[in-house]
Amino acid sequence: MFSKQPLIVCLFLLAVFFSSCFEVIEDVTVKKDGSGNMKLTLNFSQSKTKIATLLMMDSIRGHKVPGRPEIEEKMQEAAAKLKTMKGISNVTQQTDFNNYIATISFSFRNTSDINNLTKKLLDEYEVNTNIAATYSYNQEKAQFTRDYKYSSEVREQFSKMKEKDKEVLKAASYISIFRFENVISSYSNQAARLAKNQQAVMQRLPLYDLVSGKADISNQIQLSK
Amino acid sequence: MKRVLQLIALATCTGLTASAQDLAYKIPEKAFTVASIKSEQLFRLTTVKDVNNSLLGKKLLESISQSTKKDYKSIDDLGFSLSANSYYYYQLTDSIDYTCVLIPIADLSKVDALLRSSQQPVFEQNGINVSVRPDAKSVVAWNKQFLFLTYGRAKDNFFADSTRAARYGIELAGDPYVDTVEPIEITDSAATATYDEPVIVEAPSPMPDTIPTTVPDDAPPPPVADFNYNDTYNEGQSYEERQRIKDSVSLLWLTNNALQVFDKKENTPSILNSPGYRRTADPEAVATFWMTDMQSIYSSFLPYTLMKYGYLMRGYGSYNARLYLGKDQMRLTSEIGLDPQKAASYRKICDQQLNKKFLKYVNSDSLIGFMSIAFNTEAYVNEIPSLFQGIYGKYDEEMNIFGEFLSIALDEKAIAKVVKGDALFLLSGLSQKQVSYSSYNYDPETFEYRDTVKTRTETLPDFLYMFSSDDPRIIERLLQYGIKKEKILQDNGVYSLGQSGKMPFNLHFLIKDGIVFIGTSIKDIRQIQSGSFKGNISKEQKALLSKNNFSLFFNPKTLSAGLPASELGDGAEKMRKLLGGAGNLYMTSTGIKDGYVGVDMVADVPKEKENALQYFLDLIEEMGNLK
Repeated sequence: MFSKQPLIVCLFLLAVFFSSCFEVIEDVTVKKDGSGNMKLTLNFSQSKTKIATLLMMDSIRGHKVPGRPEIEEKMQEAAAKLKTMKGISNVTQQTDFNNYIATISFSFRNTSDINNLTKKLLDEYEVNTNIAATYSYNQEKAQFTRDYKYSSEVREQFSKMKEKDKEVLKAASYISIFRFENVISSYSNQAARLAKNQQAVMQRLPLYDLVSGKADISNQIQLSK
Repeated sequence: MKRVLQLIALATCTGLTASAQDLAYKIPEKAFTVASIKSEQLFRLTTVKDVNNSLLGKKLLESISQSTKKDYKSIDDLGFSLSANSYYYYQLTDSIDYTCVLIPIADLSKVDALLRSSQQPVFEQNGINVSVRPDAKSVVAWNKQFLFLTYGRAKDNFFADSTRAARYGIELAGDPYVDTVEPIEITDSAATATYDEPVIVEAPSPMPDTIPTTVPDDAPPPPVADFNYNDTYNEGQSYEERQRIKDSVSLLWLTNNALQVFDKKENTPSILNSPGYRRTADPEAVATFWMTDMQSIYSSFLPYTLMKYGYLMRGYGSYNARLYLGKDQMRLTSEIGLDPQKAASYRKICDQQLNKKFLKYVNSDSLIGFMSIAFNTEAYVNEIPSLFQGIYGKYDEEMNIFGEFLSIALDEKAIAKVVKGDALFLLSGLSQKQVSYSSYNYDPETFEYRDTVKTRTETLPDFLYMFSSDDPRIIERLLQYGIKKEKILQDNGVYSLGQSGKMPFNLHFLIKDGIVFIGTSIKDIRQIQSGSFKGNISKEQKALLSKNNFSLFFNPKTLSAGLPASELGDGAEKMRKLLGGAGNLYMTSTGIKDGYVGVDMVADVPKEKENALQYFLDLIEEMGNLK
């Protein structure tokens, strides 16, 4: 799954070569009409010493270490692709090379635009997999759902990973936040937490649990009408 | 090729009894590379039993048992001599490159049993057994004295000329694999004067009419040579068919080559005529390697059309390396020849000693490693024109003018005052440092997050770098410029550059007594500034640093002791054990001796190990455990 996504591979390799820590944050705001914003953050700041050292090298363990211009180019490429997609607007991307944090954010007209975007990106990188996570919003019922299935492809890739590389995923965190205009009346995933203002749900887990299939990130969120 | 590797491995541990004649005279004078393994030296350090029980020995015996379908328990069951020298050599010709191995035999019956177990037929001629192996593109031949294995494949370029190809029954028309290759008339090129036409001097002629003169009349033909040389045109010849013909020709050449080696008498021209090769003939060395002069190598890898640019390695002679395994040390000496002009230039450049004041700042007890260089900057700038001379072929004149211009434009004396050319880099230790990083604080009310700076402890190397400068004004100006740009801070004579995304540690600069110091530890820099730094250099390290133009030292034990387990992951203990059990490593330049310049690499054998070979075998075993 990872092998054909240059940007992810670049960033992942950086983290993998030494036991490094990093965070992946998915922050989604869904408005009453189903439109909203999404912000993805990849924070390697905890491992910046090692990454700075790695970036000085040309290659390690036989993999080429991408340079700063290469990473910037890939980020810009990803943003440019997003801009052309249906229903997607306000695309911005930022790479902080002092702290090694990359963010990309955009607005969507409908949650189905995100599913469409993921599918297109996966096609672009020739990743043949069923989309692991899909979002849907039922305006009438005021219900937001994230479906997540642990796909057999991910299971296969995970089983092929070296133990040393799996260790890295244990130290990495995945954080998912869903925000709404209305108050949340109930949610199905008990591993998630509700904000005090009852308008946001957050789930935090080691990336390892997600990739190994141990954790479930699907959630059905009922909003008050 | 697997067979070749297997035999090379075998050659490293080959029969106990025979005192066979040395086989070096069998190696052609124009060989490209030659490697030798001196089994007698090896078995002074180990026993057959120990080799059989080592990881390498077990793997070797296992692979031989598998390929011969017999159960070999000991290397001396194979029948090769464990007291004479074995050789590997590589020979280039315009038509085929030969990879060859020569192994002396101790017990013919055992070797017969080993080699006749293969499905391939063996024919005998004048006491020489020849087995042609089309699948492996190799020929194995042996008599009572030695085994000869040769491997190679006819070059496509050789057949790119249609007339020549036709002589071998190969039709080129419509061949996508050959037609696109530009014919390369290497033998006509004056640029390859560094090796004579190989087909004439040592290698068998690729011309078919010479083959019967060296292959005995009654020798059975190699099994796949079933084509007719006179059949110059084959309608609809397929690519596979052409390859088959090439393979057959290759096997004939290989067979011919093998028979010529057995025919070759002592005192005929051989590699022993090469003074460069004779330098490797040190009886104390366990293994040696020799490569013909660097210019030949460089030009042989350059496409013909670029040959006119290709004199980059002019002035460099042959390369050789010798491995010595002793009780306390493992040493690899490698050197390269220089012509008188290059040698004179290098001598001037190397006329510099390391600043003795540097030695005050070495603390041998806690040192992980160091690297020192001492070259004469002024001489280097002066020698630029002569270093450029002759290496650019066609553009030599222009480059000479450029070199002269550079030498006029640069004020060598002024440069040498700023950077004299001697420097010492000390990896003085590992220390725990607080490193900050960005993370987020989540507001429990809304889960909105804000950037926050957190800290964590990391183990980072401490280093101290110093170089001599009689005129550090320009360096001071650069540091002042850094202050102006708010990148550098100055405090009481010490300049500091703070850590950033690019650099994980603080760097401190100090200029004192004609030395520029750059270090990660402010404590060390302050002590140097006040004159209270207490160095403690060992005698050995003092000698290493003062006697060589280049030296490198690494102490794996100090590194092992300083590494925190938490940062090494699961393999930490094994890695720590490997490093902790390893001896010191050194590298020094040998200076210029008899027109050769070289490098010595030395690994100390830890006290608990019997000798360098045992240490080496154990290291391989331990590294195997690391995976």
